[in-house]
Amino acid sequence: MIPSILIALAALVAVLLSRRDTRSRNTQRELLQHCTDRLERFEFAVLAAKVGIWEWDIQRDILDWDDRMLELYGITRAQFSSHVDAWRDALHPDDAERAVDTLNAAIRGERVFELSFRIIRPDGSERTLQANGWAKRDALGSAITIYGLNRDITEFLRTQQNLQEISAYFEAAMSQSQVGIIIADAPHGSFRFANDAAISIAGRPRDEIIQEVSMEKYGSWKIHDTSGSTIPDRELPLSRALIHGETISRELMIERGDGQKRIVLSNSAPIRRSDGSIMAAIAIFLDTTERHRLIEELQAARESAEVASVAKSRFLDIAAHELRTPVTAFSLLLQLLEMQVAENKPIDPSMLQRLRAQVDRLSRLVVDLLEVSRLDRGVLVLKPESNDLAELVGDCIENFRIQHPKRRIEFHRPENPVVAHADPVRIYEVASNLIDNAIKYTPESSLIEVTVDDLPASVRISVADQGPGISREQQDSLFEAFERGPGGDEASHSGLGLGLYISRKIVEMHGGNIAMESSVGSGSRFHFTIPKAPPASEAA
Amino acid sequence: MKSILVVEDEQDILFALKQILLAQGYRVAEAANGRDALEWMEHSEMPDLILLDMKMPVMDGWQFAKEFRRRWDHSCPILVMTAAADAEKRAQEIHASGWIGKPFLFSELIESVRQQLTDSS
Repeated sequence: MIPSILIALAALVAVLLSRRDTRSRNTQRELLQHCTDRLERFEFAVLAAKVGIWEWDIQRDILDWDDRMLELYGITRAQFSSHVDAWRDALHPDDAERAVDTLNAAIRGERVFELSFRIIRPDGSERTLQANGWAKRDALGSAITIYGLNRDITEFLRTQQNLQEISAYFEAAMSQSQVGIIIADAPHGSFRFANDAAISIAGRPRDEIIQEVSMEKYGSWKIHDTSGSTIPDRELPLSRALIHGETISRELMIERGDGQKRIVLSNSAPIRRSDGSIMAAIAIFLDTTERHRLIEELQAARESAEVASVAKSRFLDIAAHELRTPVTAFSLLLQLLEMQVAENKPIDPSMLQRLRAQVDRLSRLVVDLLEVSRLDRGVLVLKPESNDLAELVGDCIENFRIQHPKRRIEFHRPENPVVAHADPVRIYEVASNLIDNAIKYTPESSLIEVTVDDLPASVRISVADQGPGISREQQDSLFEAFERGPGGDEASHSGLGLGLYISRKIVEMHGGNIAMESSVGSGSRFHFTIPKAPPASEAA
Repeated sequence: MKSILVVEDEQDILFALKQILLAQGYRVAEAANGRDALEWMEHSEMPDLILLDMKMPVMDGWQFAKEFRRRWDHSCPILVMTAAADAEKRAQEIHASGWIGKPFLFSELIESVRQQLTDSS
């Protein structure tokens, strides 16, 4: 509906034009048409803007409101008093004084006024209005009429407040997030926002990162793919989101300011306007370095557990065979003996010797197993004392010479005693294991050399053979439990493959080292050192 | 008189087996490993039964059985003696006609040997 005031105004303009203009009636009609068009356009604009128009004749105190004003104040024309009280009474008590003051100021001298205030409608609902006014003055400068507009800004304010709240929530969420967030504006890629997590992941000062960054400066972040190759600025996910509108999820490696490399899982996506054009792009990234490390650790742990499990089950196979064989031999020999006894035949002494040998073999296996178990549980206790290790090793060699009269075992030792603080039983065991291996794994004709060296702080005992040698791969696991030298798996030699493992543990318990050198075809040399003085903890 | 070839690397076991099989009235030939057994086969008549240990140096029971079947393709029964936990599986792998797990009693062995010889004749 077109307010009457505007129609009146249009009519007035038409009359004025018809009186003053001397041009042809056609031109006058055109002008009238032009004015009517203008007014119509103005009227529709007013309707579209949902603006109420008012006019206050100050001297006569006649207030004129259009229909839209009545709507804004929630009253009918009949309820409208046509005096300024109609407005004053509607004002919210808290805003009334300020609103009236502003109006008075306009009457006194300010030509233009603008204010917002709350009103309470007759139905009790509260609205916030924005008012603009313009005072028309007489020749003396006194305001005679004020024309103005009212606009309902209740929804606008509510939306604005909502937006402020939402923005505060988002900002809190983004800054508190452990996930790095960066927003860059299109088209150049300048950073609009980077949260603390992003700064901390990048490991550079905030200023350095935020300051007038553009896509061409992304390189300062030193971003690589996970294999370490640098990604060109315009190929980075954030750039691609800005340029091509692509959504990209991939792993990247960021080199921090301190040179530390972090692996991040990044997601980049464009932010579009309602028309689909790209307004900005967001990159969200999570530091997964720690997770990668844990996964790698877990994998390594699982692999080594698998290796250990394979070694253990292979050991069980070997142990089953190694234990059952002497038990079988013992059982069969015993059954033969029982038959001889039952038949009243004289007992064959060689049978007893065979039985004794099998029992010895069994007990050696059992002792080895128990010893490994005690070493692994850390309950084996050394009984160290001062010993001449050269003499100890000499005794051990003598014993082997008796058992293996055909083997050539040479012994090199210093003239003087070589004294160390060590458990003689255990050192004898280690020397015996090494010599026994040399005998087991080399041809009968080959020479075995045992050497005791008197070093400044330790004693070194070496056993060298001229056997087939041990390949590099086999050397690595030689001192581990349940490993046997080449040929061992084919059961050409009996034993559980525990000798070197036990030896290593014993030597390490003494604070010494055990090692070996070997190459295929030129023999092997095993050697271990025992410190002369007891370990510091023991001496105290 | 039935003949039995015993292939076993453990001297004491071989000794005991020979004693007991001889006492049962069998002819007994012995070999310390698969290769010795193959060599023996070259110059001898086919035995009625082979008592075969599996884990042996030089040539083990698997290799021997494979080679034996290939060269002679004979139906001579093989009785596997093994200390392995999965004895039955191992016996099947080489198409043995029976198996006996170590350790065993003489009575069990003799029973198995008789069974094999009856089945094959």
